[in-house]
Amino acid sequence: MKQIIPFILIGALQAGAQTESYVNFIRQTQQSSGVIWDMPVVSAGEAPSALSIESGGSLFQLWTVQQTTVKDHLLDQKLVGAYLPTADIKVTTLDPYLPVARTRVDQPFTVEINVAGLLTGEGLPVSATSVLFERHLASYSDEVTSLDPAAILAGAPFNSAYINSNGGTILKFQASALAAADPTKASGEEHFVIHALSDGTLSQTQLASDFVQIWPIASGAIKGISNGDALRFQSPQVELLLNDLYPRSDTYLMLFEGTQITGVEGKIIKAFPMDRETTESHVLRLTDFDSHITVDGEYTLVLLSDTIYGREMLCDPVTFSINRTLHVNASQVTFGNQ
Amino acid sequence: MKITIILAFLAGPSLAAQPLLPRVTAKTLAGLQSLDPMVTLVTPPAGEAEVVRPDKQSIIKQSTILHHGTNWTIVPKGAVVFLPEEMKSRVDGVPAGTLLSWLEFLTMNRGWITTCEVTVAQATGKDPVPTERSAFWEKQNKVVVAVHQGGPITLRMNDPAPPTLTKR
Repeated sequence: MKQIIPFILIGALQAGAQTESYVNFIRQTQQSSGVIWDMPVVSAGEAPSALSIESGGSLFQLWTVQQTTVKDHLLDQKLVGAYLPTADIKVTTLDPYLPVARTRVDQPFTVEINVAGLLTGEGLPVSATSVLFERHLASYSDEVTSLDPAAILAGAPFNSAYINSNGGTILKFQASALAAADPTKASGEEHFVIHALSDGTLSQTQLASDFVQIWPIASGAIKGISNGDALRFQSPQVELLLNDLYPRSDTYLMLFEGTQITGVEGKIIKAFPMDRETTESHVLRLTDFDSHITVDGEYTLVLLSDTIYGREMLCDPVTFSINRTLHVNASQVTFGNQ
Repeated sequence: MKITIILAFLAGPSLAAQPLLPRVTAKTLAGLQSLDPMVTLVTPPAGEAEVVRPDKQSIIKQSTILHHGTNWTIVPKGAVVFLPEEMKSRVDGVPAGTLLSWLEFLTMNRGWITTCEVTVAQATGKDPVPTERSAFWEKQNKVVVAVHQGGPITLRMNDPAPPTLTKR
C-alpha cells in the first residue's frame, strides 16, 4: 500500500482550466473496491491523496467543467498501482513557451519517457514486461484550436510501440507527422501516452500522457509591386499578406539596396510584432513607401519573420528599380540680327 | 589602441546581419517526417496490446448533482447517504445557476447539507458505519454526504445496492 502525490494532475490545471469560468475536479477511483473520492482542489499546488493505492490500482482523473456550457472535459488521467508499472512522459521543444509545449510543424521535438516497475524473466505475461507507447494526432480546423484530450486519446493511435525496459527512453522527432493538403500548413496536436497492458481487470490503463501544440509555417506575399518593376513617379500601393504568423514572432518588411540580401542588414520599413497563443493572419498596407526611398537605384523588398527558429523569408524577395530624376532634353537656339 | 581592438571584437558579432533563411518547403518537411524515431522500438503484433482508452466519459453523468436554484455542485454517485423526502427536489435535478466546487457549495448550503466523515474501511464496506450515526441522520432534515478528509466519497453500507437511504 502506498500513497501518491498527484501533483502532475494539479499542475495540468494551469494548462487547461485556470480561468474563473471553469471548475476543476480531481477524482480518484479505486480499481478494486470501486470507491470514488473527489479530492478538494485549488487551481494550483500539490497535495497527497487521502486514499491508499489499492492492489488493483487507482485511477486519478483531472476534470474541468465549463460554467456557461456545463460541458465537462477530461484533461488528464493517470493509473497508479502498487503492482503496476509507473511511467512519466514529457515533451520538450525549442520554444520556451509555457504552460503547454508548442512548436512548428517542421521543427524537432523530444519525447522523454521514464518507465519503472517492469519485470524481466522467462514466462512472464506481456503486461508485466512491457508498456505500450502511443502517438496520437489531431488537427485543428480554421475555427477550432482547442481540442478535448480525452477524445483524441480515445481514438486509434497514429502508431504505437512497446517499451520493455525500465529507465529512460528519449525519442527525437525531427518534425510533426500531422498532415494537410499543404503539409507546411498542418496544425493541431500530437499526444503521447503510455498505457499499462490490460490483463482484463483494469477499467483504464493510461499511466501517463503529454502533448505538444503544432503550428503551421508562416507564409506571405508582397502585393502592389512585382519583381523587375521600374518605378518612376507613381507610388505603388504596397500591401502585405501575412499568413499563419507564429504565435510569438516579429515580422518585418525590409528594404535592401541592390539585390544583395544576405550578409547585409536591411532597413525596416514595416514591423508587426506578435505575442499570442495561436497563429494569426493579417493584411498590412504600406502608406509611407516613398519616404523610405530618396535615392534612385535598385532595391529589394524582403518580407521576413523572426521566430525562435530563426529569421525566415515568408515569400520570394521583390527587386525593383526606381528612377525619379528628370532629364530635360533641350537645345538652345540663338536668334540674332544678321 | 588595445582597448579599441577589444571593443571592436566585442561589437563585431552583434553588428553582423542575422542569417536569412528560405521558407521551408513541403519537400523538405517530408524528408524530416520520414526520420521516425519510433522505428527503433518494437511494434506490437496486431491484437496483442490490450489497452483501455478514455471513451465518452462524463464526470457529470457519473455524479450526483446537488443544487439550490442559484448554484450547484457534483459529488460521486453513492456519496449521498441520506436524503430526506423534503430535499429530494434538490438532488439529481437539472443543474441551474453557477457551478461551485464541493467545498464552496457546502459552505453556502450548510442549512440543508451536512457531512459524515468516514474511514476508507467504511467507504469500502469493510467496516460498518455505526448505527447510532446513521440513526442520527434521520433526526435531521438534511441531505447527508459521506466525506473522507473533506472530499465527498462513495459509501458502501453493507448493501451493494445503491446506498442512498430515503426517509419516509
